[in-house]
Amino acid sequence: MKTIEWGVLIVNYLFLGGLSAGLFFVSAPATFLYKIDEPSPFTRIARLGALLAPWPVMIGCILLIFDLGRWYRFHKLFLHLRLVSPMSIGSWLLVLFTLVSLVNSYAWLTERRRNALFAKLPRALVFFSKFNYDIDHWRRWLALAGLPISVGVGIYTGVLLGAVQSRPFWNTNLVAQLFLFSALSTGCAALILGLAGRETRAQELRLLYGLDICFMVLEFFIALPYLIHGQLSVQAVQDSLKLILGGPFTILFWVFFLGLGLLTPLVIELKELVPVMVSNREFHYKRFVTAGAAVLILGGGFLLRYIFVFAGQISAMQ
Amino acid sequence: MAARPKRYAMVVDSKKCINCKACVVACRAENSVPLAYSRNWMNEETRGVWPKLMAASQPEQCHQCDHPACVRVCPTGASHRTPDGIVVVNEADCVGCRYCMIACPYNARFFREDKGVVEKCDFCVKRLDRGQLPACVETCPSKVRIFGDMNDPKSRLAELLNNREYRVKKPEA
Amino acid sequence: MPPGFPKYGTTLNADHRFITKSGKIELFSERLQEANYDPLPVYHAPAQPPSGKFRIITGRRAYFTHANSTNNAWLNQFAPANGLWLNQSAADNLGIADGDRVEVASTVGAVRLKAKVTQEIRPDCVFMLHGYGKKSKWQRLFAGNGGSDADLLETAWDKVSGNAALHETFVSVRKA
Repeated sequence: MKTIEWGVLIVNYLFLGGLSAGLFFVSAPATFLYKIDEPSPFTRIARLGALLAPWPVMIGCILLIFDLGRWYRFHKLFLHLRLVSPMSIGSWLLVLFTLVSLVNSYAWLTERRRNALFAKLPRALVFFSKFNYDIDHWRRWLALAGLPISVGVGIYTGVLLGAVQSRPFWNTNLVAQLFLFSALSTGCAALILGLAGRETRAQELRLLYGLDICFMVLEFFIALPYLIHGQLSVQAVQDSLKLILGGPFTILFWVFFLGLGLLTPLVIELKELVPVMVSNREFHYKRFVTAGAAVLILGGGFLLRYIFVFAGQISAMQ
Repeated sequence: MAARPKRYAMVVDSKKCINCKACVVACRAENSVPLAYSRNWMNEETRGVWPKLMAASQPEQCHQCDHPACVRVCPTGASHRTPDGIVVVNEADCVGCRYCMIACPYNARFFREDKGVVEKCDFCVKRLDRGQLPACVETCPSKVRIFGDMNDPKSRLAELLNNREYRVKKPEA
Repeated sequence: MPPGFPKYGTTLNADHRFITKSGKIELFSERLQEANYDPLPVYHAPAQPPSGKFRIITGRRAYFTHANSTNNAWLNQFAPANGLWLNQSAADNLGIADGDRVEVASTVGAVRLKAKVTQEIRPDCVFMLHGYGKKSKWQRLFAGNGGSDADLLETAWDKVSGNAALHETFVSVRKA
C-alpha cells in the first residue's frame, strides 16, 4: 500500500547515528596525535569527541527500537546476521559501535572524574567500583578498533537507502557517500560548538575547521554528481528528482539544505581560515559566527536525511 | 527423471476483467483483512473524450518474485520464500521494521498496526494445503485469474505461458 | 455435423413445446398480432429531452445488489456515495465544476448530490448509481450519502411486457 512508513523517528535516528559516527571519527586520529604530558590541541578534540560519541547514537537506537511494530521483539534482530540485509549488518554495527565508544568514553575520563563517578554509586551497586580501572593506555587501541566501526555506522545508513531499487530517489551508490560525509561534517560541527566557548581554543578550532571544510567540499561534490547523473539517468530517476526540482521539496533542498546547511557554513569557515593559512597569522574567530556556522551544519545534516527519507518514499508513489 | 519442484504462479488475463471487485472482497473474507488495508487491489484506467472512450481494469497483488527484494532486506529472515515459490512472512520473527515495505517495487505489503507486523498476499497458502485454489481465483466470475504450477507442463497455466504473449510488470525490480 | 450437436429442427426432449401458439420459437408472433401489437418489433423513436434537460439514467455496479447490499461495510468501501455523472460540455454550459453540489429535479421530486463531471456519459444524459439516499436511519453507512433515483423517476412501463421502464424521465440540473 502506498503509505509513508519511515517517518521523523527514523530521520532523527539517521542524524544521531551519523553524529556519533562523526564524533568518533574525528576524535580517533586525534587520539594518535596527542601527547600525554604536553598540552596539545589534539587532546581536547580527542577527549571531547570520545566523551560525546556514545550518547547521540544511544538515543537514536532507543528511537529506533520504539519505531518498530513490535519493539519488545527487537532482540530478534540479534538472533540473526544476514549479510545481504543492510539493516541486519547495521544493527550489529550499532551494537559494536555503542560498546566500543562507551568503553572509549570511559577511557578518556580523568582519574578525578572516574573516582567521582564511582563515588556516586548507590550502596547496592558498590560492588561495581571494582571496575574502577585506569585504562588510559587502551585509548589508542580503542580508537583504532572503533575507527572502521564508526565509518561503518556512518556509511551503512546510506547503504540502507541505496540498496532499495524500487525507490528511484535513493537508488544510487552516491547516497552512502553523501550520508557519510554529512555525518563526519556534523561530528566536526558538534565539536566546534563544544569548543567555541573559550577563547583559548583557537588551535583546536583551526584544526577542526580544516577538517570540516574538507568534509563539506566532498559532500558538495557528491551532491552535485548525484543531481547531474540522476538527470541523465532512466526516466524513473528523473521523475523522482522532480521532487527537488520543482516539487514539494525544492525549497527545502536548495535554500535550506544546500544554501544554509552546506554552502553558507562552508563560506564562513573558509573566510575565517584561509587568510590565516595564507599569511600564517594567529587564528582568531568570532564566537557567534563560529557557533552559528556549526548550528547551520547540524541543521543541514538533519535536513538532508529528512529530505531523503520522505522524498524517497514518495518517489515510488508517483 | 526427478519431478521438478512446484513453482506456483498466477496469470491475469486482464481483458476479461469487469472490475467487479469480487477478488478484493473474497480475499478480505478469507484472510480476515481489516477494512483499512488490502492484500490485493484493482488498477483502473479510463481514457478518452466522449464518444471515443476506453476503460480497462486489472487486479494486482504481491508478485511473488523470483528474487524478492523484500526477502533480501529483511533483517530477521521473517520474510522468506517457500520452496514452491510463495513469499511469506513468518509473524513470529517479524519485528515490524517495515524495510520490506520500502523495498517492494509494487507496494504490495502493508503494516498491520493492530498486530505490529507486515502482511501481504500469500496465495492463500492454507487453502493450497487443503487442495483448494486461492480465494480470489475461485471467486472470479470472469475467469480472469489462472493459478497453477509453472513447472507442470500439463497445467493450464503453463499452456497459457507457452502459447500467449505475456508481460511481467517491472521485471527489472 | 460434429457428434453431440442437435440436428436442426429437433429439441433435446423429443416432445418439448415452447409456450407459443405453434409450440416453436416464433419470430412473427400471432398472439401479439391478435392483441393489436406489432407482431415483429417495429422501431419507435423514443422521446428526446427538451433542450436544457437531460434523460436520467440509473444503473448498478457489479459489487452492489440493487439497494440491498449498499449498507455492507466491505462493499460500501468501493462507493460510499453516489454522484451525478454529467458530461464535461454540459457541465461547462451550466457552470458546474466537478464536486459541486447540484440539484436534480423532475416532475416527481428533487434530489441534491455532488456532481461528477466526466467524459463517460453522453452530453444529453445524466447518470446516478442506484441504491443511495436511503431513508432508513438504521442503514448507518448511508446517512445522507448521495441521492435516491427513486425520488426522481416517473412511472413508465413497456407497453407490451409491462416491465418498468426506468429511463423515460427528463430532469433539469442546476447548481445547488
